[in-house]
Amino acid sequence: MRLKNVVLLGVVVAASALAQTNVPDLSGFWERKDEFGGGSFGGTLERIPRAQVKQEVIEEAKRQAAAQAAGQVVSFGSKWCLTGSYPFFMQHSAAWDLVQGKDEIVLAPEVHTFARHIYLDGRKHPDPDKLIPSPNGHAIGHWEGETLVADTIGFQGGGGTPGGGRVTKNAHLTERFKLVDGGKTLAVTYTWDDPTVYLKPHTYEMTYHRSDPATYAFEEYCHADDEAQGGSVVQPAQR
Amino acid sequence: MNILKSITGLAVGITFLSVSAFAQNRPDLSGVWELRFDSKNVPAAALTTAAANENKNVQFEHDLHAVRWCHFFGVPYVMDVTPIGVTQNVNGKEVLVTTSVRNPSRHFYTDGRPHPSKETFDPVSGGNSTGHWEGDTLVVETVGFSDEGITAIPGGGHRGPNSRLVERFRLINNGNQLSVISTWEDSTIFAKPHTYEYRYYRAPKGTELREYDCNAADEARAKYLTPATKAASK
Repeated sequence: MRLKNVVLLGVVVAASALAQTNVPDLSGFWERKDEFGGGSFGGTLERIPRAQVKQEVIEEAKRQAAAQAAGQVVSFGSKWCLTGSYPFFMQHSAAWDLVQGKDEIVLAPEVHTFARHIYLDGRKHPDPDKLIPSPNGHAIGHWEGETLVADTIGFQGGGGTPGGGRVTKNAHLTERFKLVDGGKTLAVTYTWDDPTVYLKPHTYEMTYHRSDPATYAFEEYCHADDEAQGGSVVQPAQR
Repeated sequence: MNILKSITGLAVGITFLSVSAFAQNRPDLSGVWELRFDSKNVPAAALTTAAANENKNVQFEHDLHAVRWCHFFGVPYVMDVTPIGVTQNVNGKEVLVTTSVRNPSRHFYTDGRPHPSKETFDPVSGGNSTGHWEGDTLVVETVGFSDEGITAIPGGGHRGPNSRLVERFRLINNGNQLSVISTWEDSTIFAKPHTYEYRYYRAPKGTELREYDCNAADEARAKYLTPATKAASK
């Protein structure tokens, strides 16, 4: 009986340890590389399917475009170095670092935004009444075999997605992270769901290439007080 | 019986491997750590004559400028923003420190790499950090600082291109506190190495970092943060 208990305990401990460790190691620096198209801001993103959005979203986009064409300031995100809300850094050319902890995975970008925490300890999203909207939202994750599935709500809104989608406070994002090509690349499938924006969930995939193991983080700063920063964007005459 | 022996052997074997793996692992510094009223022991820095004679208003305005314009704040300021997050990669190759302010994370590379060559590395506000374990203490060395951000150092002085920071991270009080002993060396600033200690408290389980946004276009905020000396000179 005693031996049986020891065996059982050993099996349980071993199985538990294996369950914790037998997941893919997604760690490392990952970067977008456009193998076609116009470089960092074209190529891959141009091939992402267009989001099917509601008519009012299209009308609002037209209204903003017309306002900008008429000389009104619509957005000076670049000039003012405003925070790049998620998924901004996932489509930026700068690499981002994935750190895989015991209870969370953190995506650490180099650009002017925040590190993104994906909690893996079984916690739930906060009560919506207590959830403070933020640029990265609130993300929890779990493993489905070799795939990390992340579920995010609580975005502050204001940004966009590849394919012409919009991120609002009502957005619900599901991401599936999976190593492919022997771990050389990381495929991330994004599915945005938001009844105030989309006619149907907006799904697309982006592939990131593993950087050299010796890669180190850089700081891609943005200085709003630098006149050259303002000059880097095409701005309409203000009025 | 043979099957039972085999299962026992397998279980013990796997358990042993697991225990062995755990034994090889270092202390897990991961968690959310917060500063409290009694968290800091910071003596006055012994400055060089040149550093002591620097105009303190220049330092004040430099740092306030970084805040007003939402620059990256850098080290050591981000260690003063409470709480901080520490995430220790399970593969043992990196420890990450995250913060609630809009600032790049601190990356401590523990995979044995050296610092990049000075010829190729562009100095940044957080420098470049490598780490190694000395027993249960994570020793982190950071070089390659720029003058970007908030450069003031607790106790006096400021960081610059010649600064070298060594930090010793160690769990104390049964893992409920994280001691970080910081030592700055810079012969242009300090007459002798400047050492101070922060003792962070482990935040309650489930504590999460906030994201404190920064908006340089906010005119009211800009007016509030404009140094009085500059405002008077306009």
